[in-house]
Amino acid sequence: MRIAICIKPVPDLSTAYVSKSRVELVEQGKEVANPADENAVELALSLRQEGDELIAFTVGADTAADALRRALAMGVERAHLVDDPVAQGGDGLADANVLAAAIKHAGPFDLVVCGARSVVHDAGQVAGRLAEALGMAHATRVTSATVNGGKVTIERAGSLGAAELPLPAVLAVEPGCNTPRLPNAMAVMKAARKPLEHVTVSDLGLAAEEVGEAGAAVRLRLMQLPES
Amino acid sequence: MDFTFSEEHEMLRDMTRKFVENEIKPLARQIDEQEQIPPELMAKMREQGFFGIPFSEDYGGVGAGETGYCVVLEEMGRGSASVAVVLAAHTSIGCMAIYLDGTEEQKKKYLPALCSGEKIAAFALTEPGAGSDAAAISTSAVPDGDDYILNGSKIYITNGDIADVISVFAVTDKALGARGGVTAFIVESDMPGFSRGPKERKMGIRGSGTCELYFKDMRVPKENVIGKVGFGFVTAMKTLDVGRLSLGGACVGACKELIDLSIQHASQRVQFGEPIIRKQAIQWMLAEMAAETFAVESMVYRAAWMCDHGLKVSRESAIVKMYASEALDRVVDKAVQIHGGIGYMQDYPIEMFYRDARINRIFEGTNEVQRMVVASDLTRKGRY
Repeated sequence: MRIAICIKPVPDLSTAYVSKSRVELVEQGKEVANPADENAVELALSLRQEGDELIAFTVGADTAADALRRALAMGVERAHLVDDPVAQGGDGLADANVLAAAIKHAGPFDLVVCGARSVVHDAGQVAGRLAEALGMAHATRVTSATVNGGKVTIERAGSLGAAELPLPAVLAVEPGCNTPRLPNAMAVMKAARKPLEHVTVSDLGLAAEEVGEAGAAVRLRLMQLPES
Repeated sequence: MDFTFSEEHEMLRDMTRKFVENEIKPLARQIDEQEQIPPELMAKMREQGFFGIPFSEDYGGVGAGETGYCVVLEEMGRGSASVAVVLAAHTSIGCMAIYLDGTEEQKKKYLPALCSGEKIAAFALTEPGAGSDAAAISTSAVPDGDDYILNGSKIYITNGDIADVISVFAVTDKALGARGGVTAFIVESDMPGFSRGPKERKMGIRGSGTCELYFKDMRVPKENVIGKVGFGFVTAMKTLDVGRLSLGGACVGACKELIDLSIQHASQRVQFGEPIIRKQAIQWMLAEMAAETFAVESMVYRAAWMCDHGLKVSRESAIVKMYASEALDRVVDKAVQIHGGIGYMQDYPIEMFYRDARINRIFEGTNEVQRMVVASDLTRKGRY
């Protein structure tokens, strides 16, 4: 099986604090993997059989490399980083365009997994858009999965219950549904040194209007906490 | 100058921090009360590769160097000084003597099992009559055919209760004393004639085992000499130079944790109508704790950088050991004061940090010995 895992780089919120109605970050410029995406990595690793290949995909600046390396340390084989400046600043639509193109470029894949929502916008757009772009079946709020023959059987959070999808499929993984494994020191060192595959927008045959800020349907103007 | 940590170091730090949060902090009090690290935790630490952090991958180590090792110890120091000390005694002095001065055969024979944590190391120099005056050791090693026969005892040996591989320093020529008369040996705990005393009951770092070791007509093969016969003291000093540095790493972690706990407490504790963190007395204590911590952190990682770049660190590591241990005592004292009564109670970790901190000024060479090392270096050079 070939499994693609999409990882969104997000600010490290573990040390964030609130000051004057704004959320401030203790460490500027440090990006980590979106927590639900780490749950997705864990789910993919739990499905892995002998001979399977797992590849992680990220759209982001070079600080996004940190987020990708965590997936490598957990056991993902390779990581593709679209760090082309043109692709930065996109929303769920633009990012899904880029990720779908990157996945097709490295394809074909039997399964695509990603977190259902990110801690930044909580919009939950990417998985569904990826499924459309890739022509795959899609399910969301997935908490666990097993693969049998050409099908994947899933459990889902809330009242959605169990379901079965044909492969290839996109699974949007529910935040917190599993405990992402902690890599050991040897895996960490290996992942830190592993070269990433850098991909540009022209490698993917995309036009500038489809990606980054230009390709976004939603522009974030302001985000703040309510006055208390 | 680049003061950033590498990707490897940042990732090691993140991983260790998560491990300490999930696996060590919840057990810290139990480790102190039961005077033992649970075997299940030791097993998890082995899986995580914590026992071979600075050593080359050629010998089964993780290859993170002295800086990576200080990063790991710093994070461990946030959770449990007992665990940090067991790891440090094993790595920075137990294994280090073999790593620095062992032959290729010795390194290939002993380091892989030590790096995986399958075997634990200890460093045995101190004797009842030879603490700071390490040159006064009297454990003897007499050549006999293909072996040496060791007789004597060592005291206050960290990991003495669990070590499988011990670097032992013995006198091979009484007349020459420290200059040419001491030899370092690799001793295995299953060698006939080896035995251990009961564990000492200590003020702090109670989860780390400290005991006497006895050698009675113990045969050690000549191939187990570390470095050259008569050069044992050089090996000991070289090893301690590196070992002292990492003690600073654990002190940094403890300082940072104490500041975080103190801020949390002072932000919640309301007296005289507001959280005490608004009171200048408390604020100044926190500011002073932060200044000490920044100083110690800076000197630890600078010295670690020097070590990783092959520069001699004898004076710097003595300064780090001396300063870090004294700074930690000042920081932990303020942390107790900020916490007030609750800082004295065993319901809360502060009192454990206080008891655990005190040993840092004594072991790995007392701070008086460190001052001797620094002063001797200064007077010899005639300048800073």
